[in-house]
Amino acid sequence: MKRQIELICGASESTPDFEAIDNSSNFIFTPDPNFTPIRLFDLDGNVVFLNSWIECAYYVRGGWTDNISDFFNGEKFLFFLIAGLFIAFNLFKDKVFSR
Amino acid sequence: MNKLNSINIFWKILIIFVALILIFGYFSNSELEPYASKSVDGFSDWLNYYRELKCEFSLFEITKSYIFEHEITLRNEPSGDIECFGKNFYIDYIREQKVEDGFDKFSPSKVILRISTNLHLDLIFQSAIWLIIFSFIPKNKSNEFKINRWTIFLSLALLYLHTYGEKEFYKTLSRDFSHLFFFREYNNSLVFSNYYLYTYLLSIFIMFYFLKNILESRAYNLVNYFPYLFLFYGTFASLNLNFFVIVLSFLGINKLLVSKPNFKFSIFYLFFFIIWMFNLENIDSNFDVDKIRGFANTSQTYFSLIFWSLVFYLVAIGTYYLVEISIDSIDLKLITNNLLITSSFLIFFGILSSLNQVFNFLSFYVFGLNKTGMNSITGVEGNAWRGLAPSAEGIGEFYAFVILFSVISFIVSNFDFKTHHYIMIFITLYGLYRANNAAAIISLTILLIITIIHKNILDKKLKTLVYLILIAILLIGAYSLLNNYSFEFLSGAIMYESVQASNIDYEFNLNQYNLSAAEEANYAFLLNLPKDQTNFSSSLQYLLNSYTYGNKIQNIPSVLSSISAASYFINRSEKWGIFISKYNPDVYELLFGYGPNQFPEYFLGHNNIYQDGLILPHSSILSYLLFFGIIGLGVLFVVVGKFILVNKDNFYGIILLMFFLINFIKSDSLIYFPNLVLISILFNLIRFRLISKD
Repeated sequence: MKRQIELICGASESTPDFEAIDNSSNFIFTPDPNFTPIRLFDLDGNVVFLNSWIECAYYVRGGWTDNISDFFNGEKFLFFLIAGLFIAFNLFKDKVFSR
Repeated sequence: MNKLNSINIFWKILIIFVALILIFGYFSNSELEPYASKSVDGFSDWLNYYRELKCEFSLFEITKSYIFEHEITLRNEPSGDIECFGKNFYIDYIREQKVEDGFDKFSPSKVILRISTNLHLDLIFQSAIWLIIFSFIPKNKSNEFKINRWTIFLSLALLYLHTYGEKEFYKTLSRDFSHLFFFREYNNSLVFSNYYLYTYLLSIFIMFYFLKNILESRAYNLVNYFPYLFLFYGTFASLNLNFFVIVLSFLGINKLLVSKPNFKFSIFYLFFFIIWMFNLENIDSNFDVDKIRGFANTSQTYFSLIFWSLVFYLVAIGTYYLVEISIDSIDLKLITNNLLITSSFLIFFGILSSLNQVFNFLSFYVFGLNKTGMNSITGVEGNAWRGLAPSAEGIGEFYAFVILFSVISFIVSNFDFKTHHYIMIFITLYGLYRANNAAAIISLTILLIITIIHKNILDKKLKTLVYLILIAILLIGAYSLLNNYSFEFLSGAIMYESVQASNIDYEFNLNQYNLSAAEEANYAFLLNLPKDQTNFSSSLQYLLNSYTYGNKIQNIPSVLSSISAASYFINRSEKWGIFISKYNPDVYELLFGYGPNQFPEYFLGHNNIYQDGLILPHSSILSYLLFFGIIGLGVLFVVVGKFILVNKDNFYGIILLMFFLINFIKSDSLIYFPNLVLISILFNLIRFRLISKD
C-alpha cells in the first residue's frame, strides 16, 4: 500500500497513522496549502478532491485511485494465468504429445 | 522439406493468423456500437467519439468506420494496460503542414490511430510467434546438442539486469514498473506484490524453457536459416529488447558454460570494459533510440552499460559458437535459397503493408519491426523506399549482397538456378532499385565485374591488362569529375557543414553580403572566439585547428582534406559534419570509446543545432569509433587486415567481405542487429572455408 500511496499522492516523510483516523468518529483533515490538490475516484465513479497528503493517503488506502486500471491488477492475473498454464502444460505434455 | 512438414508449417501459420484476428479483433471488439458516420462531414464527431471512449474498440472496428479523406496510419502505444491490449488508446489528428522550404507545398493531413500494446502481453505473444517460426526449422539429424541448465537462469539474471539498468525507459511505459522484488510497508513489513516484475521474469523463464527445447533439437540447422532475420527482426513492440539478440546471448552463455571462450578476445574486451566503466558518468537518462530499438542502450547507467557490454560479447561468441557447432550442416545452396526468399518476401510484404494500414500494423507486430513499414508505395519525397526495414540504406545493402552471394554461390557450390530463383532475383533487383542505395549498386557492379573477370579470364597477363584498363577508365572518370570542383571547396566541405551544425552563441557582425564569419568559413577567426560562445565539440575544435594551422606538404592533400573531398561525392559531407559537431569525447573516450551500443553519451553529452531525433553518424566506422574508440577501431582494422591476408586465396569469400567493408564507410548498417549477424556469419563462413571453390 505504501508504494501505491507514493505513486498517487507522492512521497512524504511522515508515517500515517490510519488506525487513529479510523477510530476517530469526527476526524477532520486539515488542508495543506503546499499540497497540490489531487482528484481521485472510486469504482462507482464518485469523485473527490483531496487537499493534503494524509487525506490522499487515507483515500488511496480505502481503494480510491487516479487511474482506472488500478481497479484491476492485470499483471497479477496474468502471472497466475501463465503460471497455471505452464504447470498444466508440464503435467499433461507427455500425455498430449505422445499421441 | 517433406509433405508432412509442409502441412505442419501450414497449420502453425494458420494458428498465428487466427490468433492475431482473435487478439486484435474478436477479444478487442466493443459491446458498444462503432461510430457510424453518414457523411464525410462528420469527421470531428467521429474523432471525439473514439477519443472519449478510450480502451473500448478494436482496430478493425475503428478502421471500418473510417470514411474520411485524411490519410490514416496505425501505430502501437507501448504504455497500454493489460485490459486495454489491442484497443484504441488515442487518436491524433495532424493538420496539413507547410513543407519546409516549400512556398505552397503542404504535407497531407493525417489521422494517427494509436493501439494499446502492453509489455507483458507483447513478451508472451511475440515470443510465442517467433518460437513457432523457429520450430519451422528442420530438426538436427543427431541429438548431441545440449543446453546447460544454468544457461536459463543466467540468461534470466541478464534480462533482470536489463530492466534495472534501463529503468527510466520502462518507467515511461508504466508507473507500476519497479525493479524491486518486494516493497516495505509503513510498519516495515515486507510485501511481495511486484507482479509487474514477477510476470516479466516468469514470461521470460517460460520463453527460455521452450527456446532450450527448440535449440537443442535444431541448433545445427540455424545458420542455414539466418537470412530470415531480415524479415523477422524480432524487436518486441514495447521493450528495448530483441528476441534474436536474446537467442544469441543465450547461446553465448551456453558456450561459456560448456567450453572455454577465446582467451585473448575475452581479456582484451574485459580491459576495454573496465575503462568504459571508469569513464562513465552515471546518469539515469532515457534516450529515444527510435529505429535501433532492441539493440541500443537507452540509458547512461553502470548497469545498462554492463548489460549491453555483456550482450555484445555474448552475441559475438554466440555467433561463432553457432557456426562452429554446425559446420557439417551448413549448406550454401540452402542459404542462397533462403536469402532469395527473404529478400522477395521483404519486398512483397513491404508493398502489402504500404497498401493496407491494418496489414502495416500487424506486420509491425508479427515481424517485430523496429519501425512500422512505409505507408506508401512511393519513397520519401520520391526518393528511397525502405519497405519493412528500418533503414533504406541497410536494406539496399542487403539486397545487393543477396545478388552477389547468389552469383558466388552459383560459382562456388554450383547453385542450380531455377525459374523461381530468377523471379526472386528480379524482385530483389527491384528492391535494390527502390532502396536507392547508390553505393551498394556501384560496389555490387564493380565486384560482379571483378568476379566475372576472375572466373572467365584464366590468362594472368590478360587479366592484368583488363584490370589496368578498368583502373585507367576509373581514374579518367575521377579526374574529369574532380575537374568540375575547386579543391578548396571540396577539402573544407565537412568542416563547413560541421560549423553550420554547431550551436554558436556568438553574435557575428555580418559582411556586405550578409554573411557571418561561420558562413564565410573564416576558421582562424572562429578559433580565436571564446570557447563557451562557439560551443564547438572537442573533435571539431581539433579538426579546425589541424585544417587551419596544421603542417601542409606542398601539392599533397592532407588526410582530412582527402576524406572531406571524398565525402562530398558519396553525399556524406553534411552527415559527417553533423557527427563532428556533436562528437565531444575526452581523451579516454576518444581512445577507448563509450562502449558497445552506447549512443546516449554521444547524443546527450554535447548539443548542436539538431536537438531532436536520432541522427546517426551514417558510417559504421564512425559508429564503431563511438563504441570502441581509436584503439578499438585500430585493433579491428589490424584483425580484419590480417584476416584478409590469411584468407587471400579464398577469392570469393574475400569478394563478399569487400562488399561490406566498402559499404560500411558510408552506411550505418553495422548498428542494425541482422546486418551485424550477417557480417559475423560471413566472417565465420570464410574462416571455416565454407565459401571456397575448393
